[in-house]
Amino acid sequence: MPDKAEILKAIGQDILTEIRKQATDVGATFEDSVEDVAAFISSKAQELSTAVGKPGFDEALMAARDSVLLKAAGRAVIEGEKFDDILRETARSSLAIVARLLILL
Amino acid sequence: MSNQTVRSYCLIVSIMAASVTAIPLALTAATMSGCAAQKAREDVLVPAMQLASYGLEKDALAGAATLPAELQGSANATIDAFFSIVRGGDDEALRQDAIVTWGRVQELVELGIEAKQDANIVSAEAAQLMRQRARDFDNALRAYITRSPALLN
Repeated sequence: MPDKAEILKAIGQDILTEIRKQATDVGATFEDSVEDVAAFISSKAQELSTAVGKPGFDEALMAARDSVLLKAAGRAVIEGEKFDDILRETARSSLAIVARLLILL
Repeated sequence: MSNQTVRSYCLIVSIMAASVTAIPLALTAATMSGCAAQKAREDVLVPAMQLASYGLEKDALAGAATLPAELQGSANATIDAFFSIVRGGDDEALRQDAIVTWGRVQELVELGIEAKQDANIVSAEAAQLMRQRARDFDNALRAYITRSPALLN
């Protein structure tokens, strides 16, 4: 039977692969977040390995999984905010262009 | 038609053409602005918080069980109310009610982790991961309500 810490690592790797794929699809903008989440998964796997064979390992495993998902979800919100900022800036500059054009009329 | 008139005509046509491009772009961007983060909050952050709520609830209930008998009923009611809000996923309830009760629930979570560690139900290493989950949940809840600097920690 596979070790639970190994399973978490594998799940973490799957999440990482998926995030990388999404990042590639969207562009390189999300690379910071991908690296951040990757480092977080790696640190959780490391911490989890210290809990192997000790009381409460199942609870620790669940807590690590939850933390990884919360972290990844948090980064998604941050990226969403960055995207919104880009759109906001686009709206502002487009309106500024229109305003300048209208002055010319 | 004089050269001056032709130039004016061309200018007006150019301005109109540019406006036709810029106005929809501005409107689209203005309309979409704010959607991406909110969508991430609703589609990704809330489900992650809901998943984490099950482990946190167990910790909080363990914390409530350590309280004097006369306080346990109120603590359990607070826990029940809080996690019902999280699992319900209602935006207004999350923004207005959850943040108010979370402070008390977080204290109970910490009490529960301490109690489990003292009883050797969980090791110090496991307890550390459980405490980190509570902190991550705290950051996530705050990021749901406001812009997300807390998530950068």
